[in-house]
Formats: sequence, C-alpha cells, structure tokens
Amino acid sequence: MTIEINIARDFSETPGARYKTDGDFSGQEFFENILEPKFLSIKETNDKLIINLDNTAGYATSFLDEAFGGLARKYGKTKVLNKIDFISIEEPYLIEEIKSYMDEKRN
Amino acid sequence: MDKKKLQQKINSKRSDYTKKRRLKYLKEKEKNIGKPFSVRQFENLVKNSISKKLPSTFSLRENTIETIEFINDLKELKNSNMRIYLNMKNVKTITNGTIALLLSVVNEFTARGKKIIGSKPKNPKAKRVLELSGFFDYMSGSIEYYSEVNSNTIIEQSNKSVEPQSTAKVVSSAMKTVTGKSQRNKKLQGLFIELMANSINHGFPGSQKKKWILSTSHYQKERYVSFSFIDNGVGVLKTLNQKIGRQLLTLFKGKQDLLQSAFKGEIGSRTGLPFRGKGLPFIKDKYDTNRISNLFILTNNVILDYISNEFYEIDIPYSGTFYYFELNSNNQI
Repeated sequence: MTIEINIARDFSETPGARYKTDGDFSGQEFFENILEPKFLSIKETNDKLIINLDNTAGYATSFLDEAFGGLARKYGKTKVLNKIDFISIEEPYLIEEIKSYMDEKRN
Repeated sequence: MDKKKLQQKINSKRSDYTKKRRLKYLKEKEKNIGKPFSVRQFENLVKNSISKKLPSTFSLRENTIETIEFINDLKELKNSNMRIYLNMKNVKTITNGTIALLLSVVNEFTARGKKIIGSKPKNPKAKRVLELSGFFDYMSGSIEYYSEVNSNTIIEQSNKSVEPQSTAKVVSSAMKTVTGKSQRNKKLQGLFIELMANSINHGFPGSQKKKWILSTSHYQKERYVSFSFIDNGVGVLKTLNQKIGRQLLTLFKGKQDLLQSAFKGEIGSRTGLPFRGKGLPFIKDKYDTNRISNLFILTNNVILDYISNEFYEIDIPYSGTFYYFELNSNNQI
C-alpha cells in the first residue's frame, strides 16, 4: 500500500522557510507534524510513502533541507529512500535536489 | 545719565523692537495672502522641523556615495525628538529602489512615533515617480500637497517573520503584469523566501527589531516588474566575517571577492568550513539561469552590480542589505 502526502493539500500551498521561528509553514513544522509521523507509521511495514511536491507556490531550499534532509539525517538516507518516493511533475529537478540534501552531514 | 533720559532711551528701544516685530508680522502676512490654510500650516511645520535635503540625483546606481551618505545621515536622526522634513524639491532623478530604501528608514522612524513631512520634487518626472511609488501614503506627517494618483507600487513589510502567503500574492500579480495572466512562479517565490529568511535569521543578531521591506513596481506598458528588498540589519558581509573568522578571511582578495564567493556558494570549498548557506547561491542562481534580470546588491560597503558586471567597495559604510532585480518577459518563466 502507498500513503500519499500532498504538500499543497495536506500542509500548505505556500511552504515557508526552515524553522518555526522563521514564520508560518516552515520545514520544521512540516517535518514534526506531518512527515516524521507518517514516516514512522510505515517505517516497519511494507507500505511506501509518496510525497507529491506539486501545486505549491514554490519552495525555498531551507524548507526542503530541513524536512527531507532532516529525515535522512535522523533515520539514514538509505532507509528513507527505501520508504519514500517523490512526485514532481512541475519541477522534476527538485527530486535530485532533495536527494543531495540527504547526503549532507551536520555538526 | 539721569533717570528720565534713561527711561526715554528704554522706551525708544522698546518701540523700535515692537515696530520691527510688527513689520516682520506684516511682511509674513503679506507673503501668506492668497495661500491656502493647508500651505501655511505646512510651512509652519517645516519651520519647526529638522530639514534634510535629498540629493538631486537620488539613485543608488547613478549617485551611490551621495545617496548612501544621505541615508546614513537620516538614520543618525533616529534618536532626535524633532519632526523631520524631507525636502525633495530639487530632486531630478529618483528610482523605485532608492525610494524603497528611504521608506525603510521612514518606517523605522514612524515606528518610534516620529513625524516625517515632505515636499514633492519640482521636476515633473521625479514627482511622477514618487507619486506613483505610493511613498507619500507611508509618511506619518503631512506632505506639501496631495494629488490622487494610482500607485504602481506595492509595498510589503513584515516584522520578525517569513511570509510566504504575502509573497505568493506579489509573485502572482507580477506574473500578471509580465505574462498577462495571474499565475505561480515557483522560482521567484523560492527566491523571496530565501531573501526573507536570510534577513530574519542573519540580519539582526540578538535583536528583536527584525524587519524587511519588499517594494514591487509594475510597468504595465513595458511588461516588467521591479523589486527592491531591503533590511536595515547588520549586512551580509558582517555576518560572513563573524562566521569565517579573521584568519580565514585572508583567503579572499578583499570584501567583494568574499561576497561574490558567498553568492556563488564557494565559501565552504575555499575555507574548508562546513558552510551550509544555500540562500545566497540560490539568489544568484536565479539570475544566472535567467529567472530574474538586472540584479544589484548593496551590503555594508560593497556593491555587486550584475547589470554592468562591476563589483566594488565604496568609501562609506552602509548598514543593511539592499537587493534590486526585475522580472520581464525575456526571463525564463
């Protein structure tokens, strides 16, 4: 089974910046309220999570980095990519961009 | 001298003084004959204000030093209790970006309860630009005279936060001017979020007075939109200096090299520091990939003028960051 997170529908059509302190609809808010709980709910199952990135006003790098880079830093890139697929018809290059954030280390 | 003569002399001096005052009053009265009450009222306000005369060319690109000097001088008055009079009568050239810069200071003053009054330029073109900018709507005091002009400029401002919903509207409206249709432009929206986030996260370390201003001017006929994004924070260079440290700064050939490296995303590779700043390279990338045009950046005392490909230091400091760019029909949309 697949579970879809449609960011525009389930979170906001206007995603914001990195942290909650930056303002509304931040990457941190998306990570804590939607992405991580959904990921944990399928982590030990055969299910997959589909992230639909389309139909928003646009993304800042900080949002994507905090949400998806953050998930990979917490649970490991391989594990995350085994459980998550992305859809981005409007901006296909975003998928590679997100994967590059998953490679980055943080101190 | 006896008492009587002394008294006569005093009376005569008093009489002279009274005559002079009377004469002055009559002259003033004569001058004011025919002037509407609002004009006389405005002149009285001017008399009791600190007067600041704008340079005749009030443009960051065409008259950089004088324009920044004026802005810096004006900022110095933030603690004064007196009303400020912006004398714009002799302004011949004024640009939307510089108007937004001036507005950023005016806003700081009005937030402190300070009254600002202003006169309009005699030059019709400059007057028109100012009126169209909607600048006078943001003044807390009076203006010389008011005329109803539909503004082509929208000014968004915010305290302390990134506001993606506001900029999504700005983007949609800009796209309507450029393409004829209200629609999204994801790259431009991403760019605005980076600008706002940079300002909020790095512009005001340790301060709660975080504020950015976005001024958008629409040119329907020419089908382009100009944007000025300003914060009066510490500036990008100062932030970079603190992050990199004095020793590693020697790896760069001056301030403009450091700033250019930051916008190219090369700070990490050149210093070996784990530098994750993606915001500035994202902004520059939108220019390089023709998503925006005519990028001009001023921060601290460095100018990155991508319009003429000139990158240089100026002799006077500027505290804050100023971005100017345009969206037109030649951009990749």
